Amino acid sequence: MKGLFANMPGVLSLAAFSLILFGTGCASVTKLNAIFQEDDRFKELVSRQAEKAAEYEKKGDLRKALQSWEVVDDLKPDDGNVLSQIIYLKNQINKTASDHYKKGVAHYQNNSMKAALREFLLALSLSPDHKEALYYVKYRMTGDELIVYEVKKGDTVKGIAKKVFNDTSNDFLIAYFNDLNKEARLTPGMTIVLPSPEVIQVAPEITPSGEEPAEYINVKQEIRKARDYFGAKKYQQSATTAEKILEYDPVNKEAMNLKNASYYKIGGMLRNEKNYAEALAVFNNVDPDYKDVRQITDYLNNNSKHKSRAAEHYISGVNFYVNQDLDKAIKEWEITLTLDPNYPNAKKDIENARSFLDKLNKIK
Amino acid sequence: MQIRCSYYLCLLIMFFSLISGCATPSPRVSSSLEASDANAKVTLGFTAVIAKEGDTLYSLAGQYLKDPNMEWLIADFNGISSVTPGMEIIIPLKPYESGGLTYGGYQTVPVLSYHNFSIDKTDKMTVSKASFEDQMQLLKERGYRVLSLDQLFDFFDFKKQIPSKSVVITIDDGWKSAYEIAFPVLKKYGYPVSLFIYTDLINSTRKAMTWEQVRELADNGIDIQCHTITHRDLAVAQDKESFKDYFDAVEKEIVQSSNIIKKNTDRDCRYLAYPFGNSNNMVAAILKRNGFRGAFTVRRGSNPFFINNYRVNRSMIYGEYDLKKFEEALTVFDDGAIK
Repeated sequence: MKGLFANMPGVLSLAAFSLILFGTGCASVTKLNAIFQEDDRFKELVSRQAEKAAEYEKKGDLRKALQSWEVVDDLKPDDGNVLSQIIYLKNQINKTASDHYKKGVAHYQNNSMKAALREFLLALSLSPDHKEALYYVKYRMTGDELIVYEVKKGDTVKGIAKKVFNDTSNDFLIAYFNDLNKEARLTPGMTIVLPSPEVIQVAPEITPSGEEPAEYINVKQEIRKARDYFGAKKYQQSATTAEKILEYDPVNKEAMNLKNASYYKIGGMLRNEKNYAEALAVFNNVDPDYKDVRQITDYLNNNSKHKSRAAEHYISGVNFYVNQDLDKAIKEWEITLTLDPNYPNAKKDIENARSFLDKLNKIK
Repeated sequence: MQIRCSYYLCLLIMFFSLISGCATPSPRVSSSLEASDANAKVTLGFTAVIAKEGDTLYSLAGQYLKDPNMEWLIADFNGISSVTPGMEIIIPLKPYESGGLTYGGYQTVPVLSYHNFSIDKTDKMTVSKASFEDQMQLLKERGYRVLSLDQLFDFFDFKKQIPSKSVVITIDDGWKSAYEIAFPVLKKYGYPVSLFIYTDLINSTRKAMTWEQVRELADNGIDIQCHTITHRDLAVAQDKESFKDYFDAVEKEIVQSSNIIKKNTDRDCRYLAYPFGNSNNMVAAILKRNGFRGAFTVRRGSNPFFINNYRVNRSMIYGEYDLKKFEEALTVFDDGAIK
């Protein structure tokens, strides 16, 4: 190669080298294209994609049809028919997307939001690059919390607050959202962002009808309800309401307090009625550190254990009685009464056993 | 003069050389890929492949998309879940469906919301370990892909395509049970998760996580996000609170909770879960002003791309749910708005 260019002037050498370079480049391109033309392993795939494209087009799904044609075009370049299909579909898509978009805007202006959304989505499904349709769908229709305001001659922060929020004291909102001092001088033509006027309506959003209600409860309202139940001595309702709040807000102090106070009252009433087992079950729902609950539950727990032991001794006494060992039977029932002074029948059984023993002694 | 003529001649020759080169349609082909695999035909937007023995969706994604984890793109485009030898597969070399929007409907993404966990006990807000394991296993078996919040919002912003069966997992509050029970399970499956903490809870009781634990999770890739300082209902002014006081209180709940998380974990908060799921325009405006990218309610339902970024739906998963009920929360396609 070096020898070939040795006797040529520099520029001519360069020109000749370029010719050779581009010549060989073209040859390799042609060769690769030839490989593609001859390669029929993808022939079936290509024809299936072309069939799919026709099916999609028939169904009206122009974008999928275009996609299939693009696959065909990528696999089988230089096919004039394919290219013309692509051009045709692209034009159709642009036109149809534009029609949907225009219809969407018209519906939006008529406040028919559902119909507008449908049209904008159809436009976007055909033409994902349709920025205007995307803007409507993503921002305008979902409600933009911040709006742009162009300052007019004579506007002040307070004046805008009065104009937009009907309240000059809301000037702090304008200052906050624009990093401004409330006394800042505004230049006509400058743009500032404002929270939309709905911002000052601070009630929570209500779940639209037809949709499942929000999972959470209104805690404030439920607390008030629980408090009212407690005041009206409806302790069970108060406790249930407080527990419902705690399911959602496990560290809500007021709910916790109402729950403890309510169960404490119920437990106290049951204890006064000497219904110790139920009282214990109720006191177990109260925080052990609340008032004297720990002492009460300890006592009731012991009481409960005593009751169970009392029952054991009573049965043992019955066994002795049946086996005519009356002294031992009386001893067991006395223990029973020590553990549970109110144990049913124990007193009467002791009296009967003693009277029986007296009679026996007299006979002896 | 002679040199100048030669120079023009040379330019002329180069010009015609270029013209002749361009006259042949340029091949839309990557010669390196063509050379590397005789069973593949590579073009600009797609690759057609005849699968060989040993090919999988992952290996094809690794070879042609340079990322094995993009296997879903191939699976979704071809409507397949696995590859068999001899199968003709079209590999899209770039995303082909922004926002999951098609002529017949649109993709939706369920965001699951958990709170508390327990080894065996369940109640409405407490999911047992066994149920949670079963639910995570179901996601795997049914081919769901768990996304991060950033991936979710790229989808919402119509920027990126995501797998057709995508789901997001979130856990609220900062209970210790999430650290002890849920995270080992999530780690086992390799699922990303976002933890929304309300900062007053951390270190406050035995049942709450400590900041050390939160940091440990953050260092292990768990996404820590905001759930305010005190868990107050941001949508409602308290008794005797003026509008200005209410505004300041809400701003503090948002901004300071973000600062506290930043201080303790060195991570930025970009998302917020509304306590009790409640919000209003003012809260959303404050979030926007402070650079939050989005926020979550607990309104049940999956999310299309066109959801308001500051009103994202989440479906609470309750302790009493069986797998059938759990699956009902996993809707990934809808056509209601386009019919």
